[in-house]
Amino acid sequence: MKKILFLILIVLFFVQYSYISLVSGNPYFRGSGLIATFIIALFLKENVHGSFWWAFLVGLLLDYFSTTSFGTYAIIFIILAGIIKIYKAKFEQSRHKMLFAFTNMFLGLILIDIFLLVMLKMDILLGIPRENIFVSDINIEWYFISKVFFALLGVGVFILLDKALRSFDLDARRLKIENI
Amino acid sequence: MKRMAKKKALRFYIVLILAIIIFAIFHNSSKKPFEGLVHTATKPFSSFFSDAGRFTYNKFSFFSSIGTLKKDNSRLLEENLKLKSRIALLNDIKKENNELRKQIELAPRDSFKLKATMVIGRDMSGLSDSFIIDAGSNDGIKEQMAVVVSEGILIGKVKKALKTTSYVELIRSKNSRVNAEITESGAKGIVRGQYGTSVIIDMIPQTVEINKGDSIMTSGVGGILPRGLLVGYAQEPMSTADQLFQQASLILPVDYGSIRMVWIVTGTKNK
Repeated sequence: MKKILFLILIVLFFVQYSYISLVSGNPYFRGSGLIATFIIALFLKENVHGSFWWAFLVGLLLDYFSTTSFGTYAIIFIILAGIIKIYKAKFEQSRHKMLFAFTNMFLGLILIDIFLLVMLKMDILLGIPRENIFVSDINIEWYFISKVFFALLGVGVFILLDKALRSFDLDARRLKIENI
Repeated sequence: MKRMAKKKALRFYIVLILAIIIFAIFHNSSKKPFEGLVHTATKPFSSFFSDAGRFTYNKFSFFSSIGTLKKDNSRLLEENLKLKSRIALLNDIKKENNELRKQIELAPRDSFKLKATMVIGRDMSGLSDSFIIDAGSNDGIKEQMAVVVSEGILIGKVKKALKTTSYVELIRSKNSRVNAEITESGAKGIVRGQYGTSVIIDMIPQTVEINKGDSIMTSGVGGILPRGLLVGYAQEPMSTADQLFQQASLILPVDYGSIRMVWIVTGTKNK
């Protein structure tokens, strides 16, 4: 299963990386949205072990192909994975699974941006010239539309992942039973 | 149960500390470990997905345009007739244009040494508006070189040159600054991006008249970019907040979404 997840991630990565023609007109869709939604969906799944290592590896992969300092996304994703683990332990309710996934996706995507701004601020404090992003420059409407879009997409990914993991678990159990 | 929780927490701290160490080691360096190698290894995949993305985009555009085909056809026939009559007129204007080019020093494309290259990706963080092209320092690409399309239209500068790929910062990027001048009046200013959505020319003295449609070209001041590359056309001017200067937003002559091939200005030809 890990291999399949890794392959999906690589394909998503290249889709996102070469997204030029489709979304380059709107800066709010240019970020790491696809990868971020997939990684949050992974964090949300209980039976995916080692989500911190996933966060670390995917973060480093993103760092290689972005203008941020090396390690920025790795730190952001690890912290996010930690927050989601805590949140999940306290608030997960099986009745409102979709709503839970959506709020996690939405807040997770916003948290990534907030962490990114904090890391950029840190870069500036450390004396490294970086992009100057001011919150006042951001078109809030478009910003939230893009986040809702990616959060909905993330819910879809979450459902698919849920089904795929369940069927893989069933297969694994069946194999175990057969072996016994 | 407690032991499991402790184990998870320990795993979290180990990975986080590892990431922080990596960040601390490399945050001050513009190069990332094995960056060239990673980009070289992923280049064939990037090119493939980039082409696939464009193919999909073109197909979408084609299907969405089917509904308007009939309308477009009759419009085009009408336009064709008009254009035929204009060809004769344009031949005359062409001569005049060449004269004007000499007068305003807008450089023709054949006066530069150009290196053709393909766009294969973009910056993943979305913070800077940049492309990744499939030529790097091995092909003679250096940082700050101008990147143009078509008839010498500037779209950006090389921000970072790796061995086989390079980052191109587009002029609409927030951090992009280009020394430019208004060709009609000769007034000098700075062209800068506005969070990846639009571009403005700034720092134009209040005494200068900016007209809608004035063309803006690189001024060559600073020696980084060559003089005479077209940047865009001015729209309505407005005063800056301190009333000392005026600025105008620009219409860019290029649709960045459809750019597939770009040219790097590696030098100028001596004639």
